[in-house]
Amino acid sequence: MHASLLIALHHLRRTLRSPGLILVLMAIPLTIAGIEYAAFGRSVATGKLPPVKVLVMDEDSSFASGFVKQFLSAGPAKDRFEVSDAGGLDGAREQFSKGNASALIVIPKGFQQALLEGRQTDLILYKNPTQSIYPEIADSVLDIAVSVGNGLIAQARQPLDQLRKLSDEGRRPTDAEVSAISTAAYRAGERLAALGALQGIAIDVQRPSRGSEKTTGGSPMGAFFGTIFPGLVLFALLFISEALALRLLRDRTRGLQRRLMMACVSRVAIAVGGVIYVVTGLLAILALLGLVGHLLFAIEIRSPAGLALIGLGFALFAAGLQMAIASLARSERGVQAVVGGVVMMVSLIGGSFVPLESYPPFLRAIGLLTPNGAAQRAMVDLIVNAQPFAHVLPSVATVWCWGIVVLAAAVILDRRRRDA
Amino acid sequence: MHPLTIAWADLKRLLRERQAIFWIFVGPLIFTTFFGVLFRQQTPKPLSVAIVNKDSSDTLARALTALLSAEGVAVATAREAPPEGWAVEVPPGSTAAILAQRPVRLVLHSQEEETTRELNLSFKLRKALMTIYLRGDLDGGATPVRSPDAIRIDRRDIGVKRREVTAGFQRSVPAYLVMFTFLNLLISGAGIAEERASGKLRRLFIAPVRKRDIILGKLLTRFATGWIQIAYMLVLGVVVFKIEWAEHPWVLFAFLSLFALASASFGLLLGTLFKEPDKCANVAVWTAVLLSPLGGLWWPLEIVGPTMQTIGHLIPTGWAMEGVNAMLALGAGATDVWVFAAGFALMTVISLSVAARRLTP
Repeated sequence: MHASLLIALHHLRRTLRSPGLILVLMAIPLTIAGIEYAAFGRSVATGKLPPVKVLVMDEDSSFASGFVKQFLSAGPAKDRFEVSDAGGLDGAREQFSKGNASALIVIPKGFQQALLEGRQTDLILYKNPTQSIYPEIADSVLDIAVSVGNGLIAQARQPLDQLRKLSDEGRRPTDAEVSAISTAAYRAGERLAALGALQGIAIDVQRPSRGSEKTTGGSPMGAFFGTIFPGLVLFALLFISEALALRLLRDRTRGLQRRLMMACVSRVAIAVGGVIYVVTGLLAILALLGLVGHLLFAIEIRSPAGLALIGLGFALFAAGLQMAIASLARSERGVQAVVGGVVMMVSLIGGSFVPLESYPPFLRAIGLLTPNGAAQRAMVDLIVNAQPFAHVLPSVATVWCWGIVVLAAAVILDRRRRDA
Repeated sequence: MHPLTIAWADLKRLLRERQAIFWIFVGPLIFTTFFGVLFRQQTPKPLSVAIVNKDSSDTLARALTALLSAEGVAVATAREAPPEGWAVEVPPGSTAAILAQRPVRLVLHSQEEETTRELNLSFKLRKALMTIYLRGDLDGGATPVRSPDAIRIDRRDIGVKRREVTAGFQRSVPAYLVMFTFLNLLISGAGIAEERASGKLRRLFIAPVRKRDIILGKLLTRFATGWIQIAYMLVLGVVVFKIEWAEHPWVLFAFLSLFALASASFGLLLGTLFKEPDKCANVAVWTAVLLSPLGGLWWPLEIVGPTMQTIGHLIPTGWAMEGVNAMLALGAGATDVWVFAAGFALMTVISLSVAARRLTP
């Protein structure tokens, strides 16, 4: 055991002397986490989606067209919409192309005149074809505007129709007609005045408290990172384990291992030394990333012993995986090709890039059976959901099963290779 | 020695490497398939909401039920807001307020985070309330009364027929085409560091060949790799994933070729900056990991904030995705994407100039 520890220590010292590669690999999860927070963190923290940018092209420049614009910028969607002038169809097309606007609403020339004459008229809606979510919201709000507009017109339709009829006939109205039109206009005015209550319509949204029940990951920022960071760290650990294991492979291909075997050290001690080196290295990096996550991303480190146990199980798996592949491969390039493929598949299925909650149920079930999927779930449950360790025990058992089985396979494969 | 000879020899060697084969052909296929299936365009599930009536009268609740149902919302009634899903609470006195044309405040019980589905429901709820106000009475609550349609919405396409570019394979194929072209060409720079470390580059410099030809040969190798990657993804998109490419296919190909040239030059530059191949390869991976999401390759930029959108417009992956999206969705031609193409040309000139100066045995 003493020899194994000496060998592991020697490997670790060599790694520490040239840490550049490991540091670059450690930067990957930090970078992705930072970008994801910059992209979605604000929405998650405030619980609100970014505003919908809508362009308006007013070809009519009338009172009625002004009402449409007013409704969009100050109506029920005022907090949701950013309304700006389109600057023509070409300008709108350019804005669409840049992703700067989700929809264009054109108020055509003659819009007000058509309404006064009782003719049907259109508002033209162009949705940005490069987007799918926000144009639909713009469509919904325009739909409300049109409903309100149609409702208001309906209230005033009777006197307007009577006036238009008289105008079309080109004759003087009778006293009875004047009286009827006046009465209708007065009643329409009364109804329209009462519609001031439309401004007062409110829908208060109540959301469950973040602090009490489900999510207790500290600040919203801490909870956000606590959810995404473990998966990214596990993904990085798989690649870092490759970098660590490649040093062992190079020792083999460059004859260092043979020289060690000629010394008075058993084969088992050399193999165990290699395993201790990779596992210890991964645990140290996990601890370092956890510390950086705590300091930089405000992640609350709950149940450190539980997290360490999960980390150890996963480190055993990663070390076993790399050593098994290194035992089978003939060259460094062969190892890199196989490891790349395996790590990518495991990371995709295990939900390192996209939360498993977004997966269809069958894929989610498979994901939870992968070592990184199980480890990630357990870590998130401990850190963000503040679950007791007993709750995550099945996930921890899954990680450890993978670790023991894969490491045992690596030891058998390594022995076979040496015997051969 | 002709640059083409150097390029051909390098390309043959590259295509014998299993790692290169994996990341050019297998990796993109896995990513495209996985994320294309995961984020495929799905028929939106119908909205459902429970109405919790706390009012002494059920008139408003009934009117809301009728109007929301007419909008395709599945409406149920409940005594209390359920823990999951949405519920609309009609507070005491709401019906009387509506009848007296006074403002009314409903409560929407929702989940922790706002979603687009919630927004949609909230808009439908407002529309229902406004319809009730505009109708002026609640008696006909069972049947929604529609105002005569003096104004209609005419939905049109701007330029070309609408094509979905934000979901499914129609998004994943172009996005991963751009990402893997960029990633692989950046990583290919590690080849330069490796050739320097192994002494191959020194042998090449000793041979009767000009430095200019060596650089051109190395660039051609990477450019050819980019072409292989692009052609593979274009064919894969049509044959396997059945997506629609651009209205002007040759403009798209030329645009992507220019992007590949810029990426290859940048990769070459990276190769001249590092002594250790591993470090070079991992910095290349880190750079690709940084620029891919920022450029909108991992998710559509429409769903991120304005700062991130601005950053997306300033980086090469963003130019590539914006140009490709414009060509795919808006039928953009050469005149629409020339600015991005000019950006790639500038990137090529700068990267290649610095790389040429730094390339030493």
